[in-house]
Amino acid sequence: MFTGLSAWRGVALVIVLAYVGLAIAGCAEAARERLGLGLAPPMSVAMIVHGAEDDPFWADVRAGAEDAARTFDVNLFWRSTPDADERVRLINESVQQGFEVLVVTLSDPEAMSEVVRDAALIGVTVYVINVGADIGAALGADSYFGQVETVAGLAVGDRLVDAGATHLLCVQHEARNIALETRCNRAGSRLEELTTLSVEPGQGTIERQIEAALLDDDSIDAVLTMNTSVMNEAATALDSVRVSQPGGRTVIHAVFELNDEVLDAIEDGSVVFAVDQQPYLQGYLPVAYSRLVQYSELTQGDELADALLQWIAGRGVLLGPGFVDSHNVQRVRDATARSHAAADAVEQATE
Amino acid sequence: MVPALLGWMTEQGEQGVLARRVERLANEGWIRWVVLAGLIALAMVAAYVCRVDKDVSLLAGTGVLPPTDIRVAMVTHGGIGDTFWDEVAAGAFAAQREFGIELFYDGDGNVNEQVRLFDNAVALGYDVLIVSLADPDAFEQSIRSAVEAGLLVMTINSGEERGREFGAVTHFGQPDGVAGLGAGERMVFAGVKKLLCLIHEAANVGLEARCANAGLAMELSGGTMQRLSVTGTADRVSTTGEIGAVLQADPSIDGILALNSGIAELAMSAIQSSGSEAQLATFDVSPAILEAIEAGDVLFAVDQQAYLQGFLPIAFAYFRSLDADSQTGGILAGMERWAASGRLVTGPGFVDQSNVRRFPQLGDE
Repeated sequence: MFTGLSAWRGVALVIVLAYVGLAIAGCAEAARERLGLGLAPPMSVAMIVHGAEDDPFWADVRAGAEDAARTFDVNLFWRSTPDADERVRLINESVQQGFEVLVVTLSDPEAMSEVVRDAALIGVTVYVINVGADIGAALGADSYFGQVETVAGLAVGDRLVDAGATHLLCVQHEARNIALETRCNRAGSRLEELTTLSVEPGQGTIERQIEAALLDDDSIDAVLTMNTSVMNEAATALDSVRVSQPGGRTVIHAVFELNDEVLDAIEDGSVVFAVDQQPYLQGYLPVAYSRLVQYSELTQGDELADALLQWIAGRGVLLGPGFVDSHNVQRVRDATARSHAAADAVEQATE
Repeated sequence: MVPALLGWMTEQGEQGVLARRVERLANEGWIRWVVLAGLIALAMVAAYVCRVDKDVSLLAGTGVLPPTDIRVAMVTHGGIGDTFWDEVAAGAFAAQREFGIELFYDGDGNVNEQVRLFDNAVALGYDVLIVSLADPDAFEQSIRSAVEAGLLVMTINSGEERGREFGAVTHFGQPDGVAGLGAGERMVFAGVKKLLCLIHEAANVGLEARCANAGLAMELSGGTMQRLSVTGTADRVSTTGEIGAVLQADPSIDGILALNSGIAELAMSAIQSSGSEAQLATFDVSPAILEAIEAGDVLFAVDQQAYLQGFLPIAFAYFRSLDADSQTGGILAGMERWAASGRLVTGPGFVDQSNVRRFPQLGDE
């Protein structure tokens, strides 16, 4: 675990980065001339992550990375693919091509460990985002930007208890995904009882499996799902359980995912809360931060700057969990819409 | 280059307060590199790139930051002359200069007076209202109508939950649970196995959360925590006696967590008179606590960054007031989403022997 990782304080970072970003944007020409971004070495960042190409979560991450790359004048290579071998190949290639900074996710530690450790060993700056805080630190990564699943799981458990839940059904949709397991176990540790349900294709529909689990044990009063399609299956299962068990069995439903569909479900009350982990910032911060580190390197040999670099090692920014419920769903929706509008505007401007 | 910059910042008189705070921040918590790196990069940009006129603040008036016409009122529950709230005010005025906004600042320990200040600010047409809610209920009506009128209301320091209920957009402060956990972890790291947590206000849920989570950190490492309700600083003799009695009765207590600096000072004499070996840590800093940290009598103090509680909400209001363009639209929206679903946290920071010397003495500006 990255020492000193502490909740939510990264917003100060966001404010400061926005500040610096504006400053640089505000006098870009003078910046080139004086600081001479031509004089300062150009910077190349390769961001190689595990999301499916069309996953909206990763589209947000990418938008953040690209915005930061433009603002901070960074050359960005982006690739997102669930294929671990392909990622290993791309990481090797990026290192050979001389990228100064690698930003990676460690969803498959077995496949990725060696190549990430090697990159760190030869002096490439490695930032881990989204998944792999602990293992990243062990491999020599420089920092972590994202949610830490143990912290998030505990916080979810506390929220469920606050909502009156005692027995959690946690639906795990990927059998060997450690992150999902951690979320279930940590959330469950806060309640009186935890039932974990591994859903797999081929055992009947997911909806049926969830329904069967609910009917099997009528003390279950909370369900936690972790992706949108499972969320929908669970919602249908919960509806039919409510119908088949009249007399008001209340089962609350929380979700570890955030997108328009989840926001709709919060708005109509079928989901009580969702966890937000700021995908845009998971893309933006490591890229922006890379440049800030480089600026501090311009002050080489300087005591304070050295201390700075020392601090950077092993520290991270905790971007989640944030929570969305009926109180703030509209605000999150507005902010998300603004974010997407901004991305569209950029796209149009570059076309 | 960096010390030169900090020196340059310090030369700027009032601006020097910011520089010192940045330096102080640089010695506290993991956020230090973040803010320091950001502000140093910022200062570099300002000083080397855009050639700031030395008479003005870092960026305001240089054309680097777009001008804004928002007017901010900050109304706290701290009276003038209270060192903690003077620090909050210093942060607020630094933000005022930095962002070129109009600021009204006032505080009053009497809640009716505080509400009156708030209502006056609304009547005077301030767009942004920043308020600390020590007594949230008294503010319900005023905040609700300000929010209804379309004003931006934020809370600082206390009253997060109720404030959000009334319609405040976000909160800047130290969550007691997170701070308690952090303090507990530090106690564990110092080798404490049996922690005594001193509760000085019976019904205060914030204090209970600090103890509970410090206890959680102890339990996770195989230690234990017990609470002791004490009379409080109103009766110093009784309180010292209460703590001393428990220490004498149970010499295996090897750590004490006080929840404010006044109680910590009493705990210090209780430790001495009872001959206990317990290590002492506390929430909040005071000159006496800083001295005690330096002398090794107090392990650490949890600092909730009063200065940032004044500075950050105004910075946030400023950025929120900007028109997004293609360069900034994304990050401004990202910030907004964070504010909407996350929390804006200024603490805990930790002051211990390693950084206490660089801590600006309270009240020295």
